[in-house]
This record gives sequence, structure tokens and C-alpha cells, in this order.
Amino acid sequence: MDRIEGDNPGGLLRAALIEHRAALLRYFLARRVPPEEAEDVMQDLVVKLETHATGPVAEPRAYLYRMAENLLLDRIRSDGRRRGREQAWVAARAGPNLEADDRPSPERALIARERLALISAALAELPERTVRVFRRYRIEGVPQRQIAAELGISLSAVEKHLQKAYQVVIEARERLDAETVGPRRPGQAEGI
Amino acid sequence: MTEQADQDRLAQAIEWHLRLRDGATAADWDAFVLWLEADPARSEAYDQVARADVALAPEAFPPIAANDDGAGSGRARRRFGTGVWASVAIAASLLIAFLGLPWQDPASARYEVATAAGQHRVVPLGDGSIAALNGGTRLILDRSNPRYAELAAGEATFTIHHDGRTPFVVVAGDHRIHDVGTTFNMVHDGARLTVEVIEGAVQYHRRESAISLTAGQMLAVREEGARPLVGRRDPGAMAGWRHGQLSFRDVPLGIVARDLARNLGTEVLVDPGIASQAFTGSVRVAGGAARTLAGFAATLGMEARREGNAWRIGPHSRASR
Repeated sequence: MDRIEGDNPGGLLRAALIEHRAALLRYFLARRVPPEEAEDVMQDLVVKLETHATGPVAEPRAYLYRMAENLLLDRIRSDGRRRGREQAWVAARAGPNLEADDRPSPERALIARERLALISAALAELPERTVRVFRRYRIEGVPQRQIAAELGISLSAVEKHLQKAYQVVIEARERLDAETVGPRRPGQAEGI
Repeated sequence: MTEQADQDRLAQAIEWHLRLRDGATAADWDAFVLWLEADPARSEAYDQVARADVALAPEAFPPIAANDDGAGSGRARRRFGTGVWASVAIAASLLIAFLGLPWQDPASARYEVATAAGQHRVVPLGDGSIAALNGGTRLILDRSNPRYAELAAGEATFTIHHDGRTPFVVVAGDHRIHDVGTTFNMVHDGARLTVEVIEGAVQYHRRESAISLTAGQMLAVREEGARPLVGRRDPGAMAGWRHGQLSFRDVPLGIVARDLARNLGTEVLVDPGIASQAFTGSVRVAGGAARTLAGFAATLGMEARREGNAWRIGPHSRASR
């Protein structure tokens, strides 16, 4: 089945889900979903497709993988909240998958703003062009190819900028997440 | 070696994330599954990227400069000694346009650049040199003299473009630092001055005294009229504020509190009775004031309490454990 269009894209997606079920389970396992939970995740995917209105889909299998990955991302975020990690900035952005009791308290919103500010400070250390490319891609949703054309640089140059920017964001988040409240052993230090 | 493997894995994960984000084909996804299956650690690396991406909101991006047209002005702003601007006048006018300076003295060539509490900013100094400002910092520059800066208050890391004929001079109170081309970190907080040389060499001057400092050395004047103390420090531990980690060795708590305050953007108080107690250790300042101070106070066997807009570090209020 190469293309899906016509009157019942939802029904055809459901058929595609049945056809590619094994491939999707394999995907869940590759994404380190515990084997005993894989069926539950598959069920969540079925529900997601049922409740997710869609128009014609050009590549059903690719579409299903994308839906599956988004689902896994939601799960990771939920797990994070259950473990009590600081995910306030995700909550602050809001989205259809938030649990009902997850509205940000003023303090969590403040923490969220602080975290975004620290990420912004980390990005500000990068060359201006890198931040521009990153903003254009991630916030303004411009495809890499178009950014390359606009700036008169190669596609691989755009990719390098994005690589660098994502690395900086990930590193900044790692530093933030490494914070623990409570006793800390004094580390190595020099100085007067 | 493991770190390099982690780096490579993360870079690959970012590459996959970019590839899968817009219009990936089923073949792309198949290839992704094969990549994931080859190494179980790759899935978690990919999680890191995906979570980071989801968390990005417009507020996570630094503000765009007022007349940012991408090409020329952007390049000029980020240059690190790869060339000299055509004239001081052009450099100065671009600086003013970029920085939207709130204070200019029309009668003189001097103007001020300031950061708010907890805000970082990188300021081009007009000849390829740059100053990275920590929070609560005031830097005074001179349009008629690109090789001059005054650190009125706060903390900055200077990366100075090499020019043997014209040393760069940084003034703080009546202290002066001369530098032909190097990188150093400076704190000017009331009467306190600290200079740490990360790379190269600087000359410290005050009245008749002159002290040469090279990379790995630091100089500290603790209070008004005190003699400068010179010591050694690992350059890797200098300017730790730039990556959110401060380290101290035998530094009085009163001074540690001042440094924490500058980095956290909030006032930090300690009782006079413990202010001269020496502290040795590392403090991460990237997690926000509440968490940082709670953790810091705990290492001292103390607690951090809100006091109006400030935080106070002191003994536990009750004898409970």
C-alpha cells in the first residue's frame, strides 16, 4: 500500500496499523520500551489513531512511526512527572496530553521561566548565525533546505549549526537536571 | 574514550532527530530502527534529544539584536580577533545600536553597558576583543578609546585581541590591569578585586606597585587598602560562572555569599558571626536560587531561609534533624 487517500483515511490507517503491527512492536522494543509494556503501548497507539482526526496520508507506515514516536515521548514526559523531576516547562507550554491535575503552580512556572532563561543564556554564547539558523528551523519551522538557500550556505553547513545548537541545549539541560537538593560533598577547588 | 563515544552517539542521535523531523520516509524509519538496535544506549541518547527539542519555547532563545540583518553586523558582533574594524566610529555606532544602551553621556565619549541580576551578556569591545559579563555587572567603555574599559561593578571575562603596541587597560576603582592580548576574569565588588589569568599574561598596577601575572595565577584584594594576594589556580577552574560552576578554596563565607548573589541574581546574606568562616568546595549555580542555596547551606550544616527578597544562610532555626 503506497498511498492512502479517499473517503476513509482513518479506516485505511487502521488497516495499515494491523498490517505493520509487528514492525511497530519491533520499533517499541528498539526504543527500549520494556517488553511487558509493549502491548499496552500498542493499545495506546490504537486509541491515539482513533481519536486523532487526519486527512489523506501519503506514507502510512512513516506516519505510523511518527505517531508511535510521539506517543513514546509523551510516556517519557509522564514518567518524568511521576518521578517528580522538574518538568515544569513542558507543563507550562501545555498540550493535549497533559493530565488534568498538571496545571503549573506559580512556583513551577517560575522554575520553568528560569530554566528557559538559562537555556537562552547558553544559546547566547553561540555564534549569531548558529542561533539564527536554529531559531529559523525550530521556532519558525523553516525546512533546512530553505534556510540553506536563504543564507547561501550548504545544507551540511545548516546541519552543523543545528548540531551545535542542539548540543548546547542538551548540555544546558543536563546541568540543570544534575542539580540535587540536599547535602553535597565539597568538590575539588583551588584559589585564594 | 567513553566520553568520546557518548559525544559521537549524541551527535548521531541529533542527526537522526533532524532527519526524522520533517517528511521522513518509511525507509528512513527502517534505517533508524537498525541504528537503534545496534547499541542499546542509543535509544536513551535519542530520548535526550527529543526531550530537549520538545522543551524549546521561543523564550528559550536569546533576543534578536535590533538591526540584525544576519550577514555583516552579525559577523562583526561575534568576531574574535580575526580582523579589525574599519574605524572606531563605525564600531561605536554599531555597538550602540546593538546594545540599546540606556545611559550615554553626550558630553564625553563614555557609555555604560550593564546586565541585570542573573543575566549574562557578551559585549564586543571594538577591536575584536570581547567582554563576557556576569549578572549585575556594569562595564564603562570609551568611544574614543577602544583599548579601554572600566569594570565599575560585577564580574567579566575579558578576551583581549593581541596588540603589542597598545595594551588594553581595564580599570576597577584605582586598580588597573594592562594586557597586550590574553584572557582573564575579573571581579570588582565594592573594595574587593579579583583577577584570574586564564591565558597569557597581565600586569596589575595600583599607585606605585606593579605585579605581573601569568596564566594560572590569580590576584585578590580582599578589602580597602589590603595588600594584593597572589596565588595559583587551575585555569580550568577560572571563570566557572560561564558554565554554571563556582569553585572556592578557603574563601570567607561572606565573599562566597557575594559571589553566589551575583550568579543567582538574588541577595544572599550571612550572619557577621560566620562571615569570616572559610569555605572550600564547588557550587553549581545553574539550578536556580532556591535549589542552589538549599544545597549549599546543607553542605555547611545550615539552612537557607527567605528574608524578604533576599536569602539568609544560617544555623537551623530549630534543633530538629
